[in-house]
Amino acid sequence: MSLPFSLHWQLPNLIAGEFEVASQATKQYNCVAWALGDDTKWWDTEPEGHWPPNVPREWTLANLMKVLELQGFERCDNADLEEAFEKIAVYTRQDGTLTHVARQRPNGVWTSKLGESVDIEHQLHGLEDASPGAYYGAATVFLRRPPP
Amino acid sequence: MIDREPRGTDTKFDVGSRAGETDTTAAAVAVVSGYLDVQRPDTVFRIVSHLTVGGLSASRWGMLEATASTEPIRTLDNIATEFKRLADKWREDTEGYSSMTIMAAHDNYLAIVKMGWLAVPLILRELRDSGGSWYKALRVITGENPVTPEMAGDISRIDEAWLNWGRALRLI
Repeated sequence: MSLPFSLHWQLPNLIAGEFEVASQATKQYNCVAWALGDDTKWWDTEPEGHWPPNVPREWTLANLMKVLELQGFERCDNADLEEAFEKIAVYTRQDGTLTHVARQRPNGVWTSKLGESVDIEHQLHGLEDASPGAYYGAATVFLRRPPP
Repeated sequence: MIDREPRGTDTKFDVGSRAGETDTTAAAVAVVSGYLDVQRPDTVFRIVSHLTVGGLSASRWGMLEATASTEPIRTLDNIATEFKRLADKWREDTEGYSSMTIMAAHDNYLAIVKMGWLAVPLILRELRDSGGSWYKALRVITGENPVTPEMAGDISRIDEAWLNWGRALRLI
């Protein structure tokens, strides 16, 4: 199991820090699914994706927030580890484009499914990049819920 | 293989088979991708056997004759090479994304969609061999959608639905 070479270039801060590849590449599920603990479906707003029926099928932060709220999450202020909660971080680019979702494990390490590629364990800032053309941008929104 | 021989004001298209490339595919894409303008009244087809793709019929074995096409002449080899270049770069740039919408907005994806029906057999082979979120491209190009709402989120079933669609039309 290894990180695809292309993502080495796209995610320079990941390579510079600590991370671990935790699965084979698969397109059976994506980052939204993985953040919600689902490794069987691809959650997406295109017709081929799984998406709650009452949430508009448009890939926006607002619509993702509705999905996450339906799953029991509420907004919180930061990514700090809290024993009583499971946390999610939402990544956006500078222009507000929604790009990625990561989930915090009980030990404080973050876990992500990178699109159609692999799962990784990583630091929250490992996927961040402040440049305008950044792949994921930055973790800008945090949510929490009691552990399922 | 699709060749063109100037013949007066007409253009002759020979559709034949070659190693690794079915004549069926060649014939189908010749017609439905715009090489031949089927709406023009002076277009003549010699149909030997039929294949229906997207509501249009194509010759399976024989020769298609038509007046000059406005499309630039491209061989399937060139198209396959160009498709591979576009698809590889698209995959490289987007494989970390979880949104099919973002993936489908990539310039190379749009360029493949613009290739029209010529790209369909190539997309289906790519889907079969390497995966990828090609569904939107297939929907847009073909106007078809074999994916039912119950399949939403189940990528294996969605892939299989499109591949079965392609097999039924002998595109793969």
